[in-house]
Amino acid sequence: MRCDEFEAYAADWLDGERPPEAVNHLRTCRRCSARVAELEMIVSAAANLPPLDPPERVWISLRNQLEQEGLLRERHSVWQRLHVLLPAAPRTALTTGLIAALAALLLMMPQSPLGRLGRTGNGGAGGPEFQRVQQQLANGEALAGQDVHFRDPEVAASYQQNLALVDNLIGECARRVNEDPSDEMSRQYLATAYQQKADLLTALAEREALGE
Amino acid sequence: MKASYKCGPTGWTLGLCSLALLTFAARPAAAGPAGTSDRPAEPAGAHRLDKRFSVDGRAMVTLRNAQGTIVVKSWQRSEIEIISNHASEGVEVDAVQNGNRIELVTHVLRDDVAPAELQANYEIYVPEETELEIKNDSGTVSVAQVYADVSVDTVLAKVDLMDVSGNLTVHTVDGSFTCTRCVGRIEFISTSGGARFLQPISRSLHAQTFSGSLFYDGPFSPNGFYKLMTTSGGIELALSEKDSVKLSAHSHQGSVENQVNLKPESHIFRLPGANKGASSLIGTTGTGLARVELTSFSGKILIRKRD
Repeated sequence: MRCDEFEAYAADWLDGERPPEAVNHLRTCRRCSARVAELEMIVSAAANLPPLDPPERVWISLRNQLEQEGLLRERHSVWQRLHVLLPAAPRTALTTGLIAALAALLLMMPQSPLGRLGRTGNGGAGGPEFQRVQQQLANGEALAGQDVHFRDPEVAASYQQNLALVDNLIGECARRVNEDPSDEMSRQYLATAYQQKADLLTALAEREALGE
Repeated sequence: MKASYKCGPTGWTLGLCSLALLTFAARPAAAGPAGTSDRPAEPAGAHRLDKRFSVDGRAMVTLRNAQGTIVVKSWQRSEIEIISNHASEGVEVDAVQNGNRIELVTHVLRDDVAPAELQANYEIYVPEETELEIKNDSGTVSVAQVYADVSVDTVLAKVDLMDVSGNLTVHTVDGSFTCTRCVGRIEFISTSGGARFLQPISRSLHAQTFSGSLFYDGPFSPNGFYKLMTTSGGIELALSEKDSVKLSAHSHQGSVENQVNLKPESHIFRLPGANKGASSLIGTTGTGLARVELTSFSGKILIRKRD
């Protein structure tokens, strides 16, 4: 057994497992013996510590480290991801429309594993894969405009201006994708702009549900 | 989540975990409550609420407010203090405890409340591991020395996080974001707001804005992923040749300006299908352990040399 192979047994070793090949390696390898001794000392010292509830930042740091190493993965289905994207309370017709729009977005996002299934060709504003999203967002926008009452005109103006900004980008990117279907960056920005528009409309839907 | 990991066969992760815990145990207690000199201004004729809630373990504070200044700071007590004030009779502040969860809501009492009457200011002291979920349409949100997940959602309000550690999520429509010495996973999504990341320590940073600009000046963690994306806003990144970064920068219609001596594979090229003005750059510093992606549709990307 080589040292790098022994590393695979280290955690089990600390749990008390003693595979014969690992025992044999430790007999002959001074480096691994020293490492195991250090680890056992740390485990022993930790066992003597008073009960400790480490702060959130330690768990977050560990969680990030473990995720980076691929040892810990959160697995969410597409529907779970959609659920996370949307507020729990408002289940209005508007949000139903936005769920459909976001689902369609998931299908066409370049990085989505489902994306390739949804990309069948081009035509229309940004291609047929965008048409369903456009329609759903248009429905959502029409509903959002009806019921949301803003008490602060500056907030209302900000939503209007930013929706217009996103619409302009959608128009610009759709034009470019139509002109050059191989323009992947415009396609990516078009998907991002649609997603941002869905987010803005979802925020409006949440306000509507809360009576703001 | 915190206990759901397994130290597998890839290395010495368990030893590192133990070391991290030992290091924490040996760490002296943090300083007491942060300074109180920057309290939010109290409106004339204010209605004032001052409430304290005892909490046990990790607490969570949720706040929903339309307009005002929100300041959150940590202290060493196992209680949460809420000080709020508002001038108008048209709004009222509700502070409710449900276990370790404190819910704060500014209610609007009348339909004819003028925009200026919506203002309610909050000053909140929390144990340092208190999770925060703040929604404030306009004004400012300032959080300092909190070590737990923080989520801030605003329309116009500026957001300022300082010495905050956790999963940090900031969404704004138009509000800007300053993140000073933040630690953890950072996400910023805005339509028009810009963001400045000053000396963060993060393995995962995602910043996206349409017309706002983005600025990053800080270290890059090995295996970290830093993605900054704008539509028309500029991106500025401070980079040292001592950093270990694999960098890619692409502006579809804008320019990419690089002041750093990147490794030989760096070159400026044009992607197939990109328009004439598009420029891209790929290169590394050090051994390229961290991944940095800068993308803009029409904004300028500047990679500035940091000494």
